[in-house]
Amino acid sequence: MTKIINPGLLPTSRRNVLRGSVLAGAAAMTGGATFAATRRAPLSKTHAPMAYFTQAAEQQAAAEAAPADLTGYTRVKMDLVAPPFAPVHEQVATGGPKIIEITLVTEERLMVVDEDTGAEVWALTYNGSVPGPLIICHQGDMIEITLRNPVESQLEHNIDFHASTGALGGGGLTHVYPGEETVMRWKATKAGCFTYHCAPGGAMIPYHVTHGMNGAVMVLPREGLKDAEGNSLTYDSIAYIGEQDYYLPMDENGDYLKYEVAGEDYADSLDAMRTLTPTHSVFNGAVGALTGEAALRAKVGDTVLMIHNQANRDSRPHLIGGHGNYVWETSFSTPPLKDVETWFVRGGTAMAAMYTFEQPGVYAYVNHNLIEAALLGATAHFVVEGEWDNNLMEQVVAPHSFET
Amino acid sequence: MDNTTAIHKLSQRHIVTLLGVAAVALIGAAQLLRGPAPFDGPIIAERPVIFPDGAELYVQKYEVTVAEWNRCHAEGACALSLHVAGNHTEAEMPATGVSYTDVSEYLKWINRASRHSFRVPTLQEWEFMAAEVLPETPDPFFTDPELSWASAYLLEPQTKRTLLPKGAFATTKEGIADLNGSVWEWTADCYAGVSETGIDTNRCPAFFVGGEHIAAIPFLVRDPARGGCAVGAPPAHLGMRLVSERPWTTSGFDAR
Repeated sequence: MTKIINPGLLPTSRRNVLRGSVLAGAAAMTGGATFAATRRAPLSKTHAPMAYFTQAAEQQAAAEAAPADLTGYTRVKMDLVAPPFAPVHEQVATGGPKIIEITLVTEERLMVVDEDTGAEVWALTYNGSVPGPLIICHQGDMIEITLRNPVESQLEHNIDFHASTGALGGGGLTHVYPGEETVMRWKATKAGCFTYHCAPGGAMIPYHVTHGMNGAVMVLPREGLKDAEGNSLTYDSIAYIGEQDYYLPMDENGDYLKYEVAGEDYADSLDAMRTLTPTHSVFNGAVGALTGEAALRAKVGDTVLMIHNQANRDSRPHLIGGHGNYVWETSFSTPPLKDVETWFVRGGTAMAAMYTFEQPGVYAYVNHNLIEAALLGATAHFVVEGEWDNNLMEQVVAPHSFET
Repeated sequence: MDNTTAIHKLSQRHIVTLLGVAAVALIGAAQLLRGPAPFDGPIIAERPVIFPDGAELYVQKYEVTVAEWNRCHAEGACALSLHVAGNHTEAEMPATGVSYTDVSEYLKWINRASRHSFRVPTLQEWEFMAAEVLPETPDPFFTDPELSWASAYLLEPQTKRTLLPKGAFATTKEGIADLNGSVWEWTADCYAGVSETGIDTNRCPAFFVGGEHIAAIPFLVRDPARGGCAVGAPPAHLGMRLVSERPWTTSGFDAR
């Protein structure tokens, strides 16, 4: 299935694409020609709908642009961790700007969405989790990402960082087939929480995104978070919550269908997605992933920064029994909203809400469309230890029978 | 749920009971004329449960299965029809997704069809028969009196919530299977809230269900959803198990 996509460029059959990466690797070892040689057009029929845009991006990148000025940058590696946790990071940047090296592996894996019903999905993931790991940097830093697609994958993947500038958020430069990897560097120019997601082209974009392939980047201001008056705001921990809407195909009895390999559900999924009615809306990949033994933990007096990612659909988190003391729905450049009851997550964004726990007990963090919270799975729990404060709340008279 | 609905429903229940009694009388008469028709009733555990006071309870070995449930539906006595997912048969899967109202329909039907007196166990009976297979109750995480509302929160790992064929979980020495499984079983005990005198069972808004942890479930609920403000992990599936003070034989007559 050789297909010439552009006169003068290599025919991009799968074999040639693979050979191209070998050649690129060889070129990299020779040193000098690396910059130009590592760029290639990994186009094929599977993302033909994006060909126009991708070519444009490629041509733009291939033009005689001046090399990036990396003077003054320090290279560091960031070890990414699985949600709901955050990687080790500084709240206030010390030293000069950094080039932060990260690696994301596009793992396709069968995940149980709801143990009760047996609903499962061939999740498309970054590093094996839904959502993908939280990435943290400061404004002015650069993220240098190695995106690796394992040999055993079925599908092509890439990554679009909403925090980045150009080439479709990097999507145009990061298409990797099974057995390929690529490296891309982008500068964090805007402070805020931003989503990232896979965007291979056409209907594959929502297919990948609704199969778990999304996550968040937090770009902190170099001097850390501040309130509207410019006072510093710090947190004791981060709760990184990815809300995932799934559209799982069912048979005529309403039982969830099972598939042998990733991608086998493609046609059925598109039909289910077209309804715009999710079968599940869950936090961190599965119903109950952040409740019970996996509940989020805190102590009275702890300040928690809750980062909420929703790459596809609006949401409205509410912390039952608490508040959002400071809420950044858009960027960190805009002063935070204060003392919010329910905040808004625009579909296709990540955002942050900060709260200091004042009372012990159990708090439910829900999508306050309560149908989605209770029936579709969008519930997490915080279990908070500490001393009860009767000034804030007291049971004055316990429930009892009254005279009729 | 508003109270009017509840009361309306409950008066309906009484009417159904009366009709049921009448029907039993009629069927009984018919069967006496024809001789006893064998009724393929529930399989009872090998040995009765014997309580400290010496009382015996004959307990269904497995939870009521989908096949058993659908027989009630086929005969028009149970409104709810059930199906099994995947490659399992109706005979091997427990009937789940049933509310207390559904369970009441099944009980009326099975007692009429079997000419026996089955019921669901009380919470006390259930806890006694299940004690040997249940995990130890974990110490509550919150012990302050002000936090009694949160003291039932479970931070312990839960048994797998996946629905499995009958017999997949533990069996007691009496031969009762799956009491520690992923199906919580309706009991006859009303969750009376703070009332010291208890609530009339016919007006009870919620009943206890027996399972790995005890829970109270509103009588209309077929599937305890996880989430919202609910504290802790609710039951995975709701089903039922028959018990009787008297042994059951397929002849339809008491063994005694």
